[in-house]
Amino acid sequence: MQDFDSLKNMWQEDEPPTQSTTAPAIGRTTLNTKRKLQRQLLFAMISLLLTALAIAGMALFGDFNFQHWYSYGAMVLMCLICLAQSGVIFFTYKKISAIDETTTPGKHLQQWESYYSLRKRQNAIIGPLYFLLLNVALGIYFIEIFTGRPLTNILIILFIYCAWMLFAYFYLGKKNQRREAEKLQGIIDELKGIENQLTSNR
Amino acid sequence: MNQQKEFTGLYTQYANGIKKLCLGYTGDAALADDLLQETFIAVWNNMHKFRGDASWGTWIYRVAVNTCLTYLRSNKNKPLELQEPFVAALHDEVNTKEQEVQLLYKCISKLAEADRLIISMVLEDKPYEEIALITDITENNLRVKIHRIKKQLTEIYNRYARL
Repeated sequence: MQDFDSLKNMWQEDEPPTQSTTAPAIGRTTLNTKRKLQRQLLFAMISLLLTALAIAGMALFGDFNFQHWYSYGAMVLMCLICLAQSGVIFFTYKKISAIDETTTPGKHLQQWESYYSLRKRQNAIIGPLYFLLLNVALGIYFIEIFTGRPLTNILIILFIYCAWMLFAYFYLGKKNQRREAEKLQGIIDELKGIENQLTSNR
Repeated sequence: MNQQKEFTGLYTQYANGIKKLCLGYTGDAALADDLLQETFIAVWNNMHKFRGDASWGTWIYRVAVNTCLTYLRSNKNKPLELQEPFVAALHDEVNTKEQEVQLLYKCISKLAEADRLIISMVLEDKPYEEIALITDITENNLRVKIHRIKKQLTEIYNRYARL
């Protein structure tokens, strides 16, 4: 039977090995929650910017010779959607960068909570809006592409395109959105739980 | 003193205590190593924010507490349950101090997240005033908590030590 003081002695006598280190050498760890998220966001932002650049490049130098202005308009719209989405990601990146590891635990937990709440809102509103606008732009783009083609070909392509998009949005997208929402809510609840542990009077 | 030198000094002084805090939090040596590294990466990245309002120790422990608290994000990362076969295996071997300490870390990791960190600092003999500063809990509230956690930890340890 050990009392608390014996446990304390046991703890204090223990000298767990720690690596000797110099500053930047302590680089690779498997956790990196914040930095991992930042890297993912940065990658997504750069990918979208490159996509916007590629579309703009095609519109300017692609020699498509479109007859209608709205075909170019659709490309500009796609470009703007990609830029807007990368702007949203940049905002998220700034939000996560602002999380302060040196503040009090209560505030630190609240900052993470606020980040995950933002992600939840983005998934619920901006995700579907991005999908919808991108499809509107593609729809406009297809008008001229399809002009003069045999009706059967148009119908087949449209059927395949719409079927895939509906499947992607209503099945894959919704499933993924639900799973993501549950995951984020789980994290938010967990953070709230820890926050309660700190603030409760017992 | 340049940042590199200052950092090395801080690491030498505090890494051991932080490692024990992380060991108590996770109950797992590999995860504790990761958390220790994560803490000191955050220390390195935020050294310019240190204003000297509290001691370096208080500041670093706060970074460690924040790193630990925001770590357990999914079930797969939660500490392993302290199962009877594990405890039995400990007793099958010669009952060394090392095994007792391992059991102590595992028992601490059974407590609620915030409690693990508080009790680890108590075991480290940090003054209550400093623990209150690190966790931003009032001293009175902290005393109540510590009293409860001490009792809880002793009970858990003795329960498993008897197995």
